[in-house]
Amino acid sequence: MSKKFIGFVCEWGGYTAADLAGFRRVAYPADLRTIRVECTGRVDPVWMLDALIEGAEGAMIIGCPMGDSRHEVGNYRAQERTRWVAKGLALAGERPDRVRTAFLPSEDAEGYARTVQEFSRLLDAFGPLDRSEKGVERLRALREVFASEKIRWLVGQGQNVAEDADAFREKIPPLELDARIEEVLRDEYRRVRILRGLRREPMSVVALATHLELPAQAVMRDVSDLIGIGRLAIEGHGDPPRFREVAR
Amino acid sequence: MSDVLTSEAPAMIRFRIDGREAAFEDGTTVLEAARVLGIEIPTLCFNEAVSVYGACRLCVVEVTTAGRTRLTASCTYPIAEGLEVRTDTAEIRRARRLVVEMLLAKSPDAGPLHVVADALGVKMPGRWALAPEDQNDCILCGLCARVCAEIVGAAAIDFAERGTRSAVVPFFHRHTEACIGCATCVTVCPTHYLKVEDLHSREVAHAWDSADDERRCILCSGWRTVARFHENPAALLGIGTHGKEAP
Amino acid sequence: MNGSSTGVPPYCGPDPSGQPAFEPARSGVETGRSARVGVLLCVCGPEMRKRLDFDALASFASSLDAVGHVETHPAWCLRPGLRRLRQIVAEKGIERLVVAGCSYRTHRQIFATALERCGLNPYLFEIANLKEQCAAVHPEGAMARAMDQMAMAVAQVAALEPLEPIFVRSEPRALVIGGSLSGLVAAETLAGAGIDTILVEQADVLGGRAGGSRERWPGADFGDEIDERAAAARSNSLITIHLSSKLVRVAGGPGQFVVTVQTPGGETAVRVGAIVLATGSRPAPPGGVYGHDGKRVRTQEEFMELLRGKARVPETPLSIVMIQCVGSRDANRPYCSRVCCLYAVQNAIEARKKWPDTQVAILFRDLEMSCLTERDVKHALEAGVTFHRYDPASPPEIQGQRVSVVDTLLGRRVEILFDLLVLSVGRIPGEGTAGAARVLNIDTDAYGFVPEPVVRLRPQEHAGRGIYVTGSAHWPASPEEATYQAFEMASRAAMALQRGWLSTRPIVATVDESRCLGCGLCASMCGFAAISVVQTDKGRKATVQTILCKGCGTCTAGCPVFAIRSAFYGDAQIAPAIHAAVTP
Repeated sequence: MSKKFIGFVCEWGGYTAADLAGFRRVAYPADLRTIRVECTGRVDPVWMLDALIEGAEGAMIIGCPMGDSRHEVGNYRAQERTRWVAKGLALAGERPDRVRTAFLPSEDAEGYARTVQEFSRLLDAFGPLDRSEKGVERLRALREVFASEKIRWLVGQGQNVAEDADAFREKIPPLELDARIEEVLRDEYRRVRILRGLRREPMSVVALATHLELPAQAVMRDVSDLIGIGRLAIEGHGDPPRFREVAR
Repeated sequence: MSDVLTSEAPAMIRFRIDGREAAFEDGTTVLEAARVLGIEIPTLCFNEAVSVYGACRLCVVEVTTAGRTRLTASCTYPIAEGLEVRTDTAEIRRARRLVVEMLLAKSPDAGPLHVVADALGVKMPGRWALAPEDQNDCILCGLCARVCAEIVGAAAIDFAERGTRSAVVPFFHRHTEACIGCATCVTVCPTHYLKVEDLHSREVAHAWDSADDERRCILCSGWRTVARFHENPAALLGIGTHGKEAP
Repeated sequence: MNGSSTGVPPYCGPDPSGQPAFEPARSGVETGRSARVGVLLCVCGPEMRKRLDFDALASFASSLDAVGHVETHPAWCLRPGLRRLRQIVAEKGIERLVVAGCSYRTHRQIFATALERCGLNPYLFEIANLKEQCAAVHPEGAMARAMDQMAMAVAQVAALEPLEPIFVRSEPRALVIGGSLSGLVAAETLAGAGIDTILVEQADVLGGRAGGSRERWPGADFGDEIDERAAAARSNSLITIHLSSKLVRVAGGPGQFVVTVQTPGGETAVRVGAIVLATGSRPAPPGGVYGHDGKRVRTQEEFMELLRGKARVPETPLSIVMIQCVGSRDANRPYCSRVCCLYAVQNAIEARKKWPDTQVAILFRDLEMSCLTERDVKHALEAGVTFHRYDPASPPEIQGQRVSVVDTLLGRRVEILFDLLVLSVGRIPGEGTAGAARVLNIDTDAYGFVPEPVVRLRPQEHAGRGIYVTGSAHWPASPEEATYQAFEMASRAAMALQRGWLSTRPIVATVDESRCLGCGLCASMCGFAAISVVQTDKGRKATVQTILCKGCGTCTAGCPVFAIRSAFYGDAQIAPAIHAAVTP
């Protein structure tokens, strides 16, 4: 079966451009599958990861140019959210460009076709996603990360702080803000992987580290932290100790 | 169209089209019947989503009723008991070619019009041409005005002027706030005449301007940044209001 | 930002009149696998016929979960197709619809209306675009995409929930900003319709006699009329007047504005359903032109002081010269202020009546005849007023006691001795207009007036729904015009308020309070100030003001704990679509 990728198109910009491409008979590859939304701001980062997990090779958001969204600010949010999903993919050892945004004027039929064409070719060049058990598990972990309160809060509030100022009325330099949030993202991703590993079956640190292909020292630190915040507990009385996820 | 779905058991009208017996309910037009029967009739100004206009005259057919035969636009002609319709005679082909030639006189460069011309065997360039300053790709089909009024609900553009100066424009040829920049008119324009452009100043009849860089269509330029207290899009789209909207 | 501090939250729910907008979806509407979805395949274009195998599509559709009926037709959106749809609904028990056809944007309404008429919920419906977004653009691979897009639409539709228009109660109270002629007429009209009206005026008197300006109304009796109207407003029990007050804040939306007015006694917030802006216009400052000194050289308004006996001069003027278009219709102020010719002619007639031995001459560029009538001009001529036309290229000049002007009608220069020069300066927006427009967040034009959205052809609308602009705040208007405009706008506002409710489409966001943390991230993302955090008895929670929500879903996708639901484009609907898109 040939590859597929998902395009989330906004009713006002993307969908109109797609319609116009049809009226003008501007051809583009057929491996796109579109889902229409009211505004690109509706696209949840989790959807993009779901798309990849379910079988898409990529996910894109097509909407109105910045400042032209009929819904004021939706596309700004869509862009920022996609940027973080891309960073997440990089963390997971995947190509960040498998998720992207494209903002076109609603009458740009050729632009729509070209965007789809380029993305299709790019995904061909990337080759298929790693759909081994470990590969899919990494994507699922990433999905859990972007469904987490902490990361969703940071992505949203990070954009507010970047545009405005922080609680101390200071403007944080964008690179520094990014670096801080990325650090949290990295930690969160690691922890979610640990939690998910232990969700399946309680393991010792060494076993877990082997399973996740991470250094045992790092795993130990995270496990301690997670115990500290009540997410993990010691299972049974074995030696070495095994850890399990605490039911919430 | 609403009568279709409210009345029960409508009267079925029997008529003949291209020698075939057909029966459709009262109120159906010849063009609608032809489409359902798979008979090809070319159109330019027809779109199922908006009201019928009958401007382009490309869809002419021969109807015979009470012994008289004449050419008429099939998009507006309702079927009648005992009607005879022919959709493809020499007379019809001649009429359609004439229509296309006359459209070409105003819009000689409209690509989609060339496609229609080719299909009908019209030799290009046509026999006539308007003065160059009167030529453009607009065939005055009115689809843009109709979608703007009926689907979008903004009614920002409409026909103005007369004769060779006839055009679809926003009021007084000035940019209007009523345009929401949705580009629906662009999608339905059969000759791809309408375009959307970025303009850097906003000129409205009171001649004020705004420093905002806003997107607007070549005809009407009123895409207001949607702000608080703005028109609810439902009001513009006529969705879910059932005629009970507040002004 | 939200009006929670002023009491009972607005009513949101089904039609308060008790009648549903359309027959509710048949009982037992199920979602998921058992939903009865009808799939209509439309074969309506040459590419579709060429590139899609409709038999294969139909049998594929039949194989999908939740699909109860599949049918192909050359033109579902035309009359015969819609009739067949009605039959199918009646015979096959279809409750939801997928049309595998063309564009959702252009054809949605046709089918939504058809569904309503068949007694089905129009929101249990989707169009998979197999035409413009499939067959027309994919010379290869169209079938694979078509099948998937159809499967996606079916999955989505099967998961949809029926939606009904949301009705929001509108507050039966109006705010009128501005206590001059149009404001008084508006308030009177609203009160006459039984609407509680709050009239806010920034001066300490009603009637447009704003402090500092010595404006009087043209026409000797007009001042009396204003006084009568002001007295009537004061004694009207439905009208509450706040003098020396102004609007400082507005929140909420049409039907449910929360306006904060600053009065001498402090700030007061109140809910209103509609707002009428009637801040009027005022004369432009003369700025010393023609040696304006308020005595020998006066504006028309200052001249009216003399006419009405409110000011005195040592001697009756023997020769009055009026100059029109002073400071108007030039590079600085290009527009014509419309009423100055009317004022000048009426004042000239009054002057001739009051001082029969005094000469009155009017120097005009053009006579603006939408407020002024030919009859007025005739009366002026009969009263002995002389008119001289000048060209802007050679405007009147003052030389000592004379005005020198080239009369284009006579074709020669004319010199007139004068002892009183009266300047018709143009009009600019009233003092309160800029501030009010800012607070209301509505646009003004380059000159500060508040235009209607479709200039001249839809003067009764305003881009701010629920906000009505009337009188000279909109554009300089004569007293008669201002009266009629105010009457019209107030009538429209009254009609809306008397209805008592507004409806809005149901594609909006709603907050699940049981999940909401009150973090306020959603409020920071909303471009319409439609969602905000308020104190409830369960703590701080986000709440959506439905009348303002545009359904964009930005808040939904940003909520850290998935506490917001977007109707129609919900996670529950999109997730099955994603699944159907890429699962083999």
